[in-house]
Amino acid sequence: MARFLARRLVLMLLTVIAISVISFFIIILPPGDFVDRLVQEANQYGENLEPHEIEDLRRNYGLDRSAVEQYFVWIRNILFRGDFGYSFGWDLPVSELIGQRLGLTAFLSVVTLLFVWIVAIPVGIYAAVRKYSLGDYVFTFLGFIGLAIPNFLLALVLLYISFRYFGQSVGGLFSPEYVNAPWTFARFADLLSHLWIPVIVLGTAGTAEIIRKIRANLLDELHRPYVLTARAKGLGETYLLLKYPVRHSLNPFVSELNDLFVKIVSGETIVAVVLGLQTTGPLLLEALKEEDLYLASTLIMFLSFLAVLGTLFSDLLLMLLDPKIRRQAASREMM
Amino acid sequence: MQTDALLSLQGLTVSFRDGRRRSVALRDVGFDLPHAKTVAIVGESGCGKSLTARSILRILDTNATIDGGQILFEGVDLAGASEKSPTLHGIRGGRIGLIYQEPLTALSSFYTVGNQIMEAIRRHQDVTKKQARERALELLHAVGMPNPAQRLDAYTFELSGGQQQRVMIAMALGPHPSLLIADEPTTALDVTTQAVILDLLQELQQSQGMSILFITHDLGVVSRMADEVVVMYLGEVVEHGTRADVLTTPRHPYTQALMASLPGRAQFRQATIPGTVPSLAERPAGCAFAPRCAFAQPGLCDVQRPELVHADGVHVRCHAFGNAASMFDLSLQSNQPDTVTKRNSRQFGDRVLDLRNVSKTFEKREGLFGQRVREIKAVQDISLELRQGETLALVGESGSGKTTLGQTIVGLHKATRGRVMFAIDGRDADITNLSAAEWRNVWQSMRMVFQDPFSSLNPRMTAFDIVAEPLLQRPGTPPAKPDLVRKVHELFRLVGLDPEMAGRYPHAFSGGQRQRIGVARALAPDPKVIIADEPVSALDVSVQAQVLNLLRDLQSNLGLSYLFISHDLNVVASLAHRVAVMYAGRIVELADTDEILDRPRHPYSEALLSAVLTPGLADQDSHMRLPGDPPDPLSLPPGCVFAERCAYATVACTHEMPEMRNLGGHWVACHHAEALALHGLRNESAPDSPAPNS
Ligand SMILES: Nc1ncnc2c1ncn2[C@@H]1O[C@H](COP(=O)(O)OP(=O)(O)OP(=O)(O)O)[C@@H](O)[C@H]1O
Ligand code: SF4
Ligand code: SF4
Ligand SMILES: [Mg+2]
Repeated sequence: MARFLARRLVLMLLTVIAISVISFFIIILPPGDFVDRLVQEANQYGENLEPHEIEDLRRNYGLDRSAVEQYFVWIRNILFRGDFGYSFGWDLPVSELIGQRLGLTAFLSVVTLLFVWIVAIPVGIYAAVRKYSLGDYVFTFLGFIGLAIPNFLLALVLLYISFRYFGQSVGGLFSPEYVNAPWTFARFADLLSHLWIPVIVLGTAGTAEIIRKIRANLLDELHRPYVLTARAKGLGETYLLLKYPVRHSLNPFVSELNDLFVKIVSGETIVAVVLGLQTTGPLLLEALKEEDLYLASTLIMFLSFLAVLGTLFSDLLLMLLDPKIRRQAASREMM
Repeated sequence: MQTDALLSLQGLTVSFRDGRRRSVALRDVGFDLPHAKTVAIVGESGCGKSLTARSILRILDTNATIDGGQILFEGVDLAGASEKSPTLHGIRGGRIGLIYQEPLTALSSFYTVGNQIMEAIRRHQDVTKKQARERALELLHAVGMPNPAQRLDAYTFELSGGQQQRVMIAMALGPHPSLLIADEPTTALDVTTQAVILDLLQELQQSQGMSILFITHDLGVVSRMADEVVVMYLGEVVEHGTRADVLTTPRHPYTQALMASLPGRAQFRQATIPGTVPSLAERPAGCAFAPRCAFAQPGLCDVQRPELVHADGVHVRCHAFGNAASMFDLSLQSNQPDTVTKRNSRQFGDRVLDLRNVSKTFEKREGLFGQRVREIKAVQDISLELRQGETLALVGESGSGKTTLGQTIVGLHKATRGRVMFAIDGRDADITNLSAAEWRNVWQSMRMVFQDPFSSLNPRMTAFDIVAEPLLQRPGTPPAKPDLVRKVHELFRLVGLDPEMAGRYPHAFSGGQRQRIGVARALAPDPKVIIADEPVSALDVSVQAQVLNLLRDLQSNLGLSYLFISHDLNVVASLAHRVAVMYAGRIVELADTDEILDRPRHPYSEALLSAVLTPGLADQDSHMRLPGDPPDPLSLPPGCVFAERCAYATVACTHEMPEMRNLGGHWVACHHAEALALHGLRNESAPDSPAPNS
């Protein structure tokens, strides 16, 4: 078990390093950098910068060194000083910019994931056990709609509803008075009261998909011999249903859990733009447009770190759930 | 009607809803199960054996309903009990236990076996967790589980097939049932394991005074276990009597035909039952067996359903025993084999296949980064040859390496050591290391037939395309369309299929027909050698007889050579000229079929043979049982691979590996082969076998 974890942690570290390299170089390698953009902007305002001024700018931003050198300086500062670099566009240290937003993104994603489970698992089970019942048809229909509606449209509809019927402020994760307030219980409550819209928007498609998967998985399991055995033992129907086929059907779903999580994290951007959320999505979009090197690279690195954490989590959950995998991990073997 | 039987079925009728239609699957099923006795239900696949068992427990699929009849168990009518009634739930699993075929899938892999046994106990008895655990331990002990305390916390995938079935039995016995329903409990097990499990069931029956309803398609098992036998056909009881009555003097034409189609000794053609069991929707109007019955009287049998009549202590559902008996003469043995093609001499043709010290080792990576490599020795040091027109059978328990060897020969695996020589155009060619293109060439003359006729045919291709495929893959120009059609139709006729059916997809064929398609595909490029891996194991006896006859006919007409892989010694005895016995990846004995069957010289062969059940033989029990399981292929013992389980092992056996030695044409790998007096199938009683060495 400890070895399994050690192995996974090593792999995680390698993955994050690889991603940091890729994200950094994808942004730095194409011709043009932040200074080029400054020069361009200056031109638009009729100011012409002298070549030596441009040189100075580059030196100030550290953009005159080779890409490899810049990368190592960046990494060294992260490792030894906790300094993630400087956002050119915002004129602020990256760490100050992203701290809270990263937290919000992670929180929003996890809450969405929980929402998806809490809705999808019971509904999926119901739809499988009562196959072709009215409820099954209704859920199938709702599922189709959930998959078909574009997220931004759903976001707008829900915004309207919340504004019209609940009198909530439009957009954002906080009411205006709490946006820059320090964390208090009241602020947290305010966050929760705003959270439902993005959670529903982000979670609907996933929920529909998971319901379908659980239904299909469970339908496969319901007629397996071990269910018959349980029934022949005289166990109660609900009890045996939950103990045996449901437990068996969760496996493939758990192993795909991380895909869902990644989908949520990456789907967040557009929803956040529409809803005006203070999460990482809009910030990343901006940073990429402006070639804000350190901000963009740091964001990408953290987001992929989140995804890697998700994988680890789903693997651990799988081990918890499936004794076969647990025994394999415990007794050495490759994983 | 009140009876003093433990269980009494009366007029039980069950039907399935299938879209709009209803089809009757059980029709008027009635028989009594006396206290502390075993009643066996036999019949081919789809005859309603399992359905009867599930009806008794009321665990039918949701599209099935009980339309009539009674299931009286300890005075309660289960057929009429409401689904929610506590009596029913108490009886299910409490008074009636169920075990069935594949223990691996019948148990959950997500909970320890202890958990599953304890659950059954606690459902029916008011005991604490601790008491339930003690009882579970006791039960595992009682069913002969090695290391029971440790096994309580094991998962199913950590147990062998036999051990899994022991867990199932322990679970069913937990709440002290008075009736145990065993649905094909040993069908998925090796013969040696089957023998041990059957012993166990008999022992438990005696010690607990239980009744057993034993469901099987294997008449050998019936003759070992049953007090009474119920023969079912298409959801009806067609014959019911004592074991002796039913097995030695079968009355109903179906029972007779079933007995006659069992594989016998020597390489004769077998009697078969024409056709197959019809589907429920196509139930014949009169007698259900009429379309396949050799004695059917037109105007009677195909119009009027026979009653179950009582004749000489036996119940038979056949007009030949009713009022119209005078119209029939069942003594006419019309089901006799038509032609006899006994192999005429020991003169086979030239050598076609020659294995020289072939080994196949798989690698298994372990350790933190898969850096440690351990070897699984699946096949070790195999030498054998196959001559033209000969059938060599490869027998052994599951995991002994039979399939791996077959696949290594046809190039699906690459041999790790040794050489495979194959006669192409009269010259021995080394086919151990060939390129893909060269293999395609070899596959024209060496073909494979697979075990499972259901999964080995591509469901998206028509039967025609399946059979034509190897012809189109031949090197050189593909045959012209008319030639191709002619050839494929010819192949269809050769394997006894109507060319009219060539346009159908595999799902539209029965199991036996699919296996014929598999054989036709193998025969397409005019091969010389066919490697058949358990080709009849998935088939019913009557269909099995048809396919075995087909293989015999093809051999005598085309001079084919077969490497016939099987675990069924009855089939091997009826088909093979020579037999190689494999154990833990090695051939331990190799000799002529009669030699091995009657005078085995390796202790493992003796154990295998003593586990063989042949219906009709009076005393089936030679009381020789193999303890334990085969060795782990990851860590084979240094000496004789069989030493751990061998009753004759000496100290030398455990550290010195026995070489294969030739004892007058009888090859055997055992240190003590000459000194041992081993028992074969025919033992002392057989007139043509000499008394064992004394
Ligand atoms: N859920 C179902 N829906 C429709 N028909 C079914 C269903 N389950 C079983 N049957 C049919 O009922 C008949 C009896 O099946 P049953 O399983 O009792 O056969 P069996 O004698 O046990 O055969 P086997 O030897 O293959 O186990 C078969 O024709 C089968 O196809
Ligand atoms: S009733 Fe007729 S068809 Fe049926 S088994 Fe008897 S003889 Fe054959
Ligand atoms: S060599 Fe020894 S252990 Fe092996 S089979 Fe012969 S007697 Fe038994
Ligand atoms: Mg069955």
